[in-house]
Amino acid sequence: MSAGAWLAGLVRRRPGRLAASAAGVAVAVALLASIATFLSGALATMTTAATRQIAVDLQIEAHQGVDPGTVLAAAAAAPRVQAALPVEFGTTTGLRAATGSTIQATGPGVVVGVPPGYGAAFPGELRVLVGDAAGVLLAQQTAANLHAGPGDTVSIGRAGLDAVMVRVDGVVDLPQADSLFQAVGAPAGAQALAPPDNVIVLPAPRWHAVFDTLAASRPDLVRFQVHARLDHHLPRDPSAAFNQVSGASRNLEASVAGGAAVGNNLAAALDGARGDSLYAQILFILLGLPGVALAGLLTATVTAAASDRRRREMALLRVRGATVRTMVAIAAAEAAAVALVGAAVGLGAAAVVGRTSFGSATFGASRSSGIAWALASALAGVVIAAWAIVVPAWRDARRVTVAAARQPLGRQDRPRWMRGLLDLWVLGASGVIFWLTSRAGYRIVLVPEGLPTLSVNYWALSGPLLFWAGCGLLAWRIADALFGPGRRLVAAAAQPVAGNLSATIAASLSRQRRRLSRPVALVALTVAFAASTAVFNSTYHHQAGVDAVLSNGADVTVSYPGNSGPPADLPTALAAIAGVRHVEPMAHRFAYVGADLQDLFGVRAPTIVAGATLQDTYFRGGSARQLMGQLARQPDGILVSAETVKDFQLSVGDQLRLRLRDAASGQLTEVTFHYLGVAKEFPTAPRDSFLVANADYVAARTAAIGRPTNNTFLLTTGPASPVAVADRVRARVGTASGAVVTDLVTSRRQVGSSLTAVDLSGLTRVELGFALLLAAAATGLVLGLGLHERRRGFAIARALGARPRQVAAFVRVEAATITLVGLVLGALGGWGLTEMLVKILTGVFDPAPSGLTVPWGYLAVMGVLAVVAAAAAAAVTVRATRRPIVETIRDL
Amino acid sequence: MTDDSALVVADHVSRTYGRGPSAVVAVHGTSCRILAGEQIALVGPSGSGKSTLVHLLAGLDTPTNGVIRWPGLGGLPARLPAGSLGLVFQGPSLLPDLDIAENVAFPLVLSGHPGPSARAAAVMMLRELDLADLADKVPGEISGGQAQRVAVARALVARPRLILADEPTGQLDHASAAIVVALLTDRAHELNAGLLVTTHDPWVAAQLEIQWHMIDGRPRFSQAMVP
Ligand SMILES: Nc1ncnc2c1ncn2[C@@H]1O[C@H](COP(=O)(O)OP(=O)(O)O)[C@@H](O)[C@H]1O
Ligand SMILES: [Mg+2]
Repeated sequence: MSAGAWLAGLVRRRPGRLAASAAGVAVAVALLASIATFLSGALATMTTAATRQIAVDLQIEAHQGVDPGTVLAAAAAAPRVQAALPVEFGTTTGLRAATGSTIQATGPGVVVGVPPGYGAAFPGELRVLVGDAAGVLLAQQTAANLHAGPGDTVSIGRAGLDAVMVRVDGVVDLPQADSLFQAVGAPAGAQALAPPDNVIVLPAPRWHAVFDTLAASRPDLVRFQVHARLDHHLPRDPSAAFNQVSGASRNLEASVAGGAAVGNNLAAALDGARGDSLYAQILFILLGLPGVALAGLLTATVTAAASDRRRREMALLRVRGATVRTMVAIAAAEAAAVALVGAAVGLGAAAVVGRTSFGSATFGASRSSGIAWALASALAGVVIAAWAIVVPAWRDARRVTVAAARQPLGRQDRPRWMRGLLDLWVLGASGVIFWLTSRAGYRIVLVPEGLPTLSVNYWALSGPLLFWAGCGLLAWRIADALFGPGRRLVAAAAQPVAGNLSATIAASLSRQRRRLSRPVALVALTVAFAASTAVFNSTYHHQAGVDAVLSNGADVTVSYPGNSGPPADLPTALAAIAGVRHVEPMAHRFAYVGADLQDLFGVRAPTIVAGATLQDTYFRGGSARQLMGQLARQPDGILVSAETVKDFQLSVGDQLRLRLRDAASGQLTEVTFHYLGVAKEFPTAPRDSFLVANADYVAARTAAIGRPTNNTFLLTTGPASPVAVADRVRARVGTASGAVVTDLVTSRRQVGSSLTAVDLSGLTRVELGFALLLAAAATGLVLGLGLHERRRGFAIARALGARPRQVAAFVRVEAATITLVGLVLGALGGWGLTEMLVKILTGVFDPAPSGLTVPWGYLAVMGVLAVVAAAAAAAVTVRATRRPIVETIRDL
Repeated sequence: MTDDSALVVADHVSRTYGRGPSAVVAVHGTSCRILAGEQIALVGPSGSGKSTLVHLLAGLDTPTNGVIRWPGLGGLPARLPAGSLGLVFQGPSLLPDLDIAENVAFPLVLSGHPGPSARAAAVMMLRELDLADLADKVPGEISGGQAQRVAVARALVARPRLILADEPTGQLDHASAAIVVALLTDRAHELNAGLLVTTHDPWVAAQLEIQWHMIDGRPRFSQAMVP
C-alpha cells in the first residue's frame, strides 16, 4: 500500500484527527510568527522613541583656539546632518537680582548664547514657560533662586570685569539640561554630576556683547559648540541605528581633524535602546517560547490520544507485510500533510493577527528577515508535526507485534523519567539557577558602553523555563499519583456525581492513568503559561502607569514655576472644576543640604497618601501610610534620599539642618528637621535627590504663614479623562498666570525610557488570546479526543444497562478531574513562575513593583473557558453515547 | 399460553441495513416469542442475521418494520434494572479499564448494588466458571476464549429473566464450550429464565430444547413455536 493511498484513506476515515493535529501545528506557527511581528514593531518603536527623546543629536565642541566657524562649516557639510547652529557657553561668577527691597545672589552659573531660529531647529531643548522666547531667559530654578521673573533686571557677574545688567524676558525650562551641559568628549565617569544650578540664556548677539571681551582675557571661561540634527531615517533595529549614528559622528570627528570633540546624544540614547530591545526580546522569548512549546505538546497529545488505535493499525499493516520503512513513510506522509496545512493556516492567521493588532503583517524588521521568520515558523511547524506523528510511529513500527496490538492497555511501567525523578532534578536545577541569577547585582543584559556588541545572559532565562517544564512534569507525577494510589480520593470526590459507581469509575481511571496524566500536565502547563503571562503583563502595565503617575505626579498636575504664586482661592477653584475629585496641594521649593541644592516637597501629611496615591515602594523604612502618619505626628520630620542618608551618615531621629530662603528677609535661614525615613520616589520629584517634609512646618519656619506657598496641585480625576480635565484647568487658571498644566495621558506618551514607550498591549492581546485558545484546546480538544477513543466502552456500558446518566458520570468525573487538577496545579505553577519572572526581569520594571498585579478578570475568563471547553467535550461524548448502541459496538 | 406472559414477542419484524439497491435485509418479516423457561438455539450460517435478531430482541436495535414487545419483562429492556436481561456479545465486549471481577460485577453496580457485595457475587460467579484466578487481571491480559467466558459470567451475574447469548462458544474449544453451555442452560433453568443462544455449532445447538434455523433472515422453527 502506498503512503498516498493510506493518506487518502486517513482523510476519509479520520478527518478529525488530521484537523486537530493541523490545528495544533497552526497555533504554534501563528504564535511564533506573531511574536516575530511584534518584535519587528517593538524594535522600530524603540528606535523612534529613542530618537524622539533627543533634542540635539550631536554637540560638537571646538577645542580651545580652534575657530568655531570652521567647525560649523565642517558640521554643516557632514553627511546625514540636516541642521547645524552655533551655541556659546560662558561662565559667570554669579547672578544677582533686586526684587522689592531685597537682593538675591547666586553662586557661579552658565550663560548660554543661542542664535535666532535655535528653538525651531531644536524644539525640546528650551521650553519657554512664560515670556518671550526670543529674549533673555532665566532657567526655572534660577528664577526661583533669584525671585525674579519677566521684567526684572538681573546682573551677570564676569571674572575680572564689570557685571552686565540684562532685563529678563521669560522663564525657561531646560528638560535636557544633563546633555546640554555635558562635558563633551570627556569619558563617562568624568561627567559633572549635575547640570549647573544657575543658568541664563541670551540671544547670540547679546551673549557676544557680554562675553567677547572676557573671551579675550580668559578663554578658559567660554566654550563654543555646534549643535547638529541628524537625518532620522534610521534602521528599525536600535543596534543597527546605533551603528549608523556612531559612524556619522566618527566621520564628522575625522573631518574636523581633531579640532573638535563630538558628543553624540542620539547614539547614547540608541545605546540605551539597544539594551532595552534585547531585554524586550528576552521577555518575548520567555513568554512566547513556552507558547510554541505548548502548541507542540498539544499536537503530540492529540496524536497520542489515538495512539492505541494507531498501534493496532500498524500491527495490521505489519501482518500484511509492511516494513518499518513503509510504516514510517506512511507516518511521514501524514506528518507532511499536517505540517503543510498547519503552516499555511498558521502563517495566514499570524498575518491577520499582525494586521489587526500591530497594523503590520510583516514578520521582521526587513523583508528578508520577514521571509526568514516565516520560514523559521513554518519549519517549527514541520518539526512539531514530525515529532508528534513520525517519531511515535517509528517507535511503534519497530516494536509492534500482533500481541502488543491486541493488548490495549496492559500494566505499563511508570515512565522512565518518573522513576529517575527527572521533574525534581529539573525543578532543582531551576532553583539553583534562579538563586544564582537573582542575587543582587546580577544583570541579565550586558551592554558594554559604546560597543556594537551586546551579550545576553541566556543562562538566567533557563531558570524560569526549567521551572515551567519541571512544573509540567511534576503535575504529571501528581496526577499519576492521584489516579493511582490516590484513587480513593477520586472515588470520594466522585461520590456526589457517581453514587455507588464512584469506586468503579476511580478504578477505571486508575488503569488509564498513563493516558490521563498527560492532559493534566498539559492543562497545568497551559494554565501556568497563561496565568504567568497575564500576571506579568498586568504587573508591567500597572508599573508603567505608576511610572507615568510618578513623573506627572497625578492625573492632572498644576504647577506654578518660579515665584509666581497662585491666587489664594485656587484650591477651591480647582476642586470646583468638573471631573476633579480631589486636589492635593504641595509646596515645591529648594533647600540646601550642605552645599547641595535639592528639591523640597512640603506636603499635607494626613491626606497625601490617598490624595497622591503613594505606593509603598516609594519609601524605605516603612509603608507609605506609616511614614506619612509619622510625618503627621512629628511636624519637623523629614524624608530624604538614600544618597543623603549615606552622605550624612543619618540614622532615624537624627537632626538634619537645611538652609531655606526666608520669605520675609529673602535670606537663607537654617531650619532643623528630624530624619524619619527614605523616599526613593515621589510624585513630580526628580529621580536623584529630594526631600519631603510637612508644608506647614516649612511655612512656619520661613515666615511664609499666610502666603500662598503651595505651588503644585495634584488633581485626581476619577473616571473623567485627564486630558479633558487638564483643558478645563488651563481655561480656568489662564496662560498669563504662568501655571503649567500637565496630564497623565500626555506625559505617559512622553515618558522617556524607550522600553516603557513600547506598547506591550498588542503583544499582550496576542499572547493572552493564544493562551486562552491553548487553554480551551488543552482541556476541550484533548479531553474530547480521549473520550472519543473510548466511545466503544461507553456503548458497551449502555448495552449492559447503564443509564445515560451513569455513562455521563464516567465522562464527567474524568473531565472534571483532569480539568480541576490541571487548573489547580497550573495556577500554583503560574504563581511561582510569575514571581520568578518578575524577580529575574526586575530591570524591566520602573519603579519596582511592591507586589504582583493579578488580572482576576482574565484569569476568571480563562478558568471559565477551560471548564466550559471540558464541559462541552463531556457533553458531546455523553450525547454520542445515545447514538444507536449496536452500531457503535460493531463499528469498532 | 398467551403473548402477555412471553418475555419477548416479535411481530412481523424486519431489519434492513442501508437503502436502495445496496440495502441488506438482515431480518426478514419475522414473528417469534420467547417464554420463561424456554431454551432456544438459533442456528444459521454466518451472515444469516442471527446477531441482528439478538440485538433486536435485546432492544439495542429498532426494527425497520414490525413491533417488538417485552410483556413478561414488564417494560423496555432499557428501562429495566441493569442485568435483568443477560447479554453476551459475539465480539470482545469487556470494558478494557476494569479488571475481570469489576467487569462481571458491572451490571450489579449499575443496578445499584454496593461495590463490595457486587464484587463478591462476581467472584463467586467466576468460580463457577473456573475463572476465579482471573479476577484481578485486566481484559488485555487474558485470551479471547477466557474473555468470552467472562462475558457469560457477566450476563448471568444479576439473575436475568431473559438471557440472549450471541455465539458464546464461538472461540472456545469443545470442553470449554460444553462448560459454558451447561452453565447457561443450568442457570436459565434455575432462574426459570428464557434463553436464546446463537451458534453455528450443531453440537451446541443440540444441547438446547428448541432449535430455530435462521435462513436468509427468517428463522424456521423446528418445534411447535409458531406464534
Ligand atoms: N451495520 C450494518 N450495516 C450494513 N449491513 C449490516 C450491518 N450489520 C450487519 N449487516 C449485514 O446484515 C447481515 C446479517 O448480519 P448478522 O446479523 O451479523 O449475521 P450473523 O450474526 O448471522 O452472522 C449480513 O449480511 C451483514 O453483512
Ligand atoms: Mg453474528
